Amino acid sequence: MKVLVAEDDPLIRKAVAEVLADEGYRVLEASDGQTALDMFTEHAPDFVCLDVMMPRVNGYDVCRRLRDEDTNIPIIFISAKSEEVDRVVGLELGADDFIVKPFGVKELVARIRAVTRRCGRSKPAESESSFMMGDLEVLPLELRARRGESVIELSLRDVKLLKLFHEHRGIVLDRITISDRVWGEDYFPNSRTLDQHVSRLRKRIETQPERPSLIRTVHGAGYRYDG
Amino acid sequence: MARRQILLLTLILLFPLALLAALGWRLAEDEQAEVQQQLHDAFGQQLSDVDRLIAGYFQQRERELLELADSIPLQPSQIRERIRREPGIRQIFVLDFEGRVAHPLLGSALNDSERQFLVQFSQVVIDRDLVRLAHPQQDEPNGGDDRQSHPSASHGWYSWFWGHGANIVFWHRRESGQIVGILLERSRWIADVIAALPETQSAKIASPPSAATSSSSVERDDDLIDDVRIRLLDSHGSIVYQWGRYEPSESASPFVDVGLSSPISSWRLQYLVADERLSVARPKSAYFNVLTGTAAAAVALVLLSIVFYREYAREMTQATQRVNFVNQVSHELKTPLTNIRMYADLLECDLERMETEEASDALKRLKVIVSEGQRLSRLIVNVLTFSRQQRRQLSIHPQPANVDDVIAACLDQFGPALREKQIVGSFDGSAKQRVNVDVDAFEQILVNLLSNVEKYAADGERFQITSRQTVDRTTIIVADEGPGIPQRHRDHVFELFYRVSDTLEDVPGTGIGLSVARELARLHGGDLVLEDSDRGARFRVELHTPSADNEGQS
Repeated sequence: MKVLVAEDDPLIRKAVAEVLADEGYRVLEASDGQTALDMFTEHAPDFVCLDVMMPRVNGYDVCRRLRDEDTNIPIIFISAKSEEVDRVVGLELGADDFIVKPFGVKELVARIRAVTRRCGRSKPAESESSFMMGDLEVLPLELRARRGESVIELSLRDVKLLKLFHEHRGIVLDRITISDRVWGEDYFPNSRTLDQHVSRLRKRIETQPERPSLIRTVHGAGYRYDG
Repeated sequence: MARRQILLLTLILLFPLALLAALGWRLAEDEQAEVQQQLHDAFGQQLSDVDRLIAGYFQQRERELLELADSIPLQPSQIRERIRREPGIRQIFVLDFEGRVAHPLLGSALNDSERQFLVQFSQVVIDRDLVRLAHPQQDEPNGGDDRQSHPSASHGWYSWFWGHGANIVFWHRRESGQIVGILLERSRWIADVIAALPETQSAKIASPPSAATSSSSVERDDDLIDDVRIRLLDSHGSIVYQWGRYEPSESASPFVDVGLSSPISSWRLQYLVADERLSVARPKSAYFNVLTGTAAAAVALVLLSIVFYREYAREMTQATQRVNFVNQVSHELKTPLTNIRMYADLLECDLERMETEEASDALKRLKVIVSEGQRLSRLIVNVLTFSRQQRRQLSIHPQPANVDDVIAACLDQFGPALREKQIVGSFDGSAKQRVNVDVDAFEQILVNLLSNVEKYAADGERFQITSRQTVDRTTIIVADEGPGIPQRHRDHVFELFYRVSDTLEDVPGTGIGLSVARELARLHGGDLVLEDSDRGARFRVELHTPSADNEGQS
């Protein structure tokens, strides 16, 4: 999933990009409205995060022009303007959500996931149907997994990872394959990042994280899901 | 808002002015009435002086005529001789004790004058009225205006109308019961009356040569004579005589109008005064004083209110500028604060991944930065909400949401800070319907309440959050086991800038959190109240939350 982040403050843009990348999205960065429009045409992202106050073309105008081209693309405004008027204008222009500065990573992640779920619901893809991993039901479009009554929040990357294991049941997946498939070919996470991600995911989806039953470690080779 | 204040100011300004003007006007009117009365009295006095002069003339005549009537021999020749000698007497007649005319006797030798007298007067006078004067025992109540004397008197004046006006008779009842009547020569007594009037240098009509003594009061008011006119009117209302330099118009009405004394009581004296004279005499100055006084007060008040208004406007502008400044600064703080929070969060993630001893020490410190960053964010949100409230731009935008989810998210946000103080919270949630609620506003209410719990509840204490839902209402109770709020502060905790500071001096705060929270709850068609509780503070949030699902179906 490709996300376009248009934000003129480089620090915020970098941080948002990092958080989104960590969530499992491919991030395109634009520092002004015009660049954002150009990148949209060139890369056709799956959704867009727009700052309102941007040089050259402001966020509202970008939003208006994006809506002209693609009525369904999810758009999240990132703004320091918390005044209701601005919020209403943004939503009326067809923004799906509004993240108001100052915000933290958790709020950003929650909003991003919420919008991802909403757009997943609106365009059901055949490959995104839910699947079972043991007693865990993974709902890719929902970015959630369910075990009995309890619901587990998942990031896009978690879903990708679980899907990769589910599709390669019983096969040992080495770290490079996993990295290529889940993080992308142009991204080279060190093996630590991958291991830590798996470790954190286990803590949430395994009934006994210290003795994992879903994603097992194959020493010296990689990971394996036995089904 | 400004228009209302200007209106208020105008009212405050106009009311005392109107009051002042009304009071002043009334005072001036009273004063004028008083002066008018004084003038009236003064002029009336002059007229009575004139009346006295005329009355004096008739008294003098009365004495002369009484002597004449008493002493005159009643032979016709004697009477005729007397009439001839006295130009002021037109006719003398005698009635016998039965009221019949004894002289001039019809049938006897009469001269022209006597004959004329009998023809003209007998029926009118002798048969009717004078007989009654002569015989008072036969008198019946009679409202006749012409009888001038008391019936039981032995002499008096009698007047009646005939020909060109009033005729005057002096009558005297002799010891013998006979009545001697003396009819005065009309032109003569009128001339005498005029002669008796005060002579004035401004008289328009030539005064009779035998000028009577001038009234001292008229002399005294000589300066008034210039603008006045005194008229003597006969019974028909025609002017007999007038003096004074003032030429009144046809329609001019007399300022004072009095009747004369007997025997010509049907005559009138009128006092006419030029309007200019009256208006000069009128205390114009009083009205002028009222006007100038009111105008001066108006100018003073206007100046004063301009000063006050400018001062007020300046303060309002300053206050607005301050709010705008705070607003502006808060907005400016947002970008750096976002960076601080984002990078602190990212750093937290990084440190969590390191899983080393150093990292966990650093993590503890970082958590302070993270939670203080959150606190700062809340503060800014409160300040901005407050500033919007001040500009009356606060409104809510409900969207479908789950109240319990929002509560859980808030608790999650406060988790680290509460854990730090070892405050243990429990959440009993049963608001699981999807309802229409402004999540941001509700979150802000809850955050303010939790922030109070964090601030005021002591270490190791507990707090509870309970949520309940009915068809279209959601009730959330946040209760802690801290020191609570002293009774005397309870009514004030929701007031803007109010702080329960005397007992909790070391607790930071701005005094806008609860005020903003209550305002948001009220915008939600609900309220935020402080409930009585045995222990700690217990806040209840009521929100009007129509079900989102029903709306979707309908």
